Amino acid sequence: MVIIFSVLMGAGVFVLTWAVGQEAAPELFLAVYMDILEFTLLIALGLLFYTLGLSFPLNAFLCLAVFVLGHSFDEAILSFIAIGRFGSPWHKTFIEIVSYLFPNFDIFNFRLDIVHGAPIEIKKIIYAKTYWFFYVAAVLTVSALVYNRKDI
Amino acid sequence: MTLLIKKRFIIAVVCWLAAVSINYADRLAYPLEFKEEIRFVLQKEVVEILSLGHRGLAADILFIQTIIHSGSLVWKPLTYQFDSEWSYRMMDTVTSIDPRYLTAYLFSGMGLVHGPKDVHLARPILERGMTNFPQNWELPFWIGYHYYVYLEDYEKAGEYFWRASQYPEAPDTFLSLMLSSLKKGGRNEMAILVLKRLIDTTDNEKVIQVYRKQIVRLENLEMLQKAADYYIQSRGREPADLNRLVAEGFMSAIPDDPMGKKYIWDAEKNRVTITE
Repeated sequence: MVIIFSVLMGAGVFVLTWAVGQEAAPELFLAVYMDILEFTLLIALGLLFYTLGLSFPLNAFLCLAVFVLGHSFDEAILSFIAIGRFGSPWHKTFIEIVSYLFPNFDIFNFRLDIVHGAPIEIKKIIYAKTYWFFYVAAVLTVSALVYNRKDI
Repeated sequence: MTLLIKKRFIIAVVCWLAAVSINYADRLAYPLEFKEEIRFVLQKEVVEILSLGHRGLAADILFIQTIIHSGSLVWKPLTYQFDSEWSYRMMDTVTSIDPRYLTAYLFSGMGLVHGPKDVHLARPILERGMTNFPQNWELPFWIGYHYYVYLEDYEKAGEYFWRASQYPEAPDTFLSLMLSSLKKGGRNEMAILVLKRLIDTTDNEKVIQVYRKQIVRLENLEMLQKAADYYIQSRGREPADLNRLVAEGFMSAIPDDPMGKKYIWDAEKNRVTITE
């Protein structure tokens, strides 16, 4: 469902930019693809919460919290760099460490680069894809582990 | 712990560490940088369709977007400027699709005003808020405040403060500000009423004395102004000074100021004022 909706939405935006902006932007589908990776990672986390036996509302809340958190770290670090006067360097280091431990959804965000017409390096795409692969693998393995222990 | 579980656990940890390392490598290769956010405003009709009837939710989302833009400027470099055109178009959409969103009206008047240009953009939204919330004193207060602080139009400021003060829930805390704008705007009769209200708010005799003296001064100013207006009407020109009003029989004498100042004719402002 996520894939279908994302592709449909991407196609809609593609057609709109083509019709209104008189310019085809196939790179939009890269952003859609990355969004799909992002959502599948979120679904994997939801599955992990499910195996932990959490109720649906708590599961949904945690998914939303992880999503917001995963999209806030880059901005949080930037704000620490920019403000300087707020918080100590220790705060910044703490945020940086936490941002590595939690899923970083901003790694899949290619939208701004595409909108601003910035070149997108293959290396960056590879980073995002391998990150997705390993994180999903880790989460699903833990889920399987928890689920199997439950069966025993 | 069986061997299979151990193996799976190790696989999970290794995968997670690999993901963390990739994230670290990505940040080393592509250090974080500020990027201009994407800003556009959808037409109200389009927002209504996309909201699928959840107008309040759609208004909330657009409102949060505007707050984030405005709030993030606190820590972003100075090259990132507040986009008032976009922000007020967003707030216009927010308040159009959810006309009962009082916080949005108030935020338009308080949080988004950064300079005189924003005052003109905020005013239609606040005016709409005044129509939808006819009993709310804060909305006219903020329009008055903008006129006072940013545009220095004390007459208009006084008018809006006066409107705000007429609501039963309006606090007395802004009476002094209102008094200042009314006095600066030459609205002496209104200022006298405010002073009378201020007298009711205090038990301090010394303060009451000062207020009473101010009332006498404003009554004198009002009387002199009326005489000067009559002089202009009759003679077709402004009086060179206030003594002309006495000399030509428009007044019997120039009253004494209760605080020892002198009343003068200000040709620039075209009204009677006091010496500094």
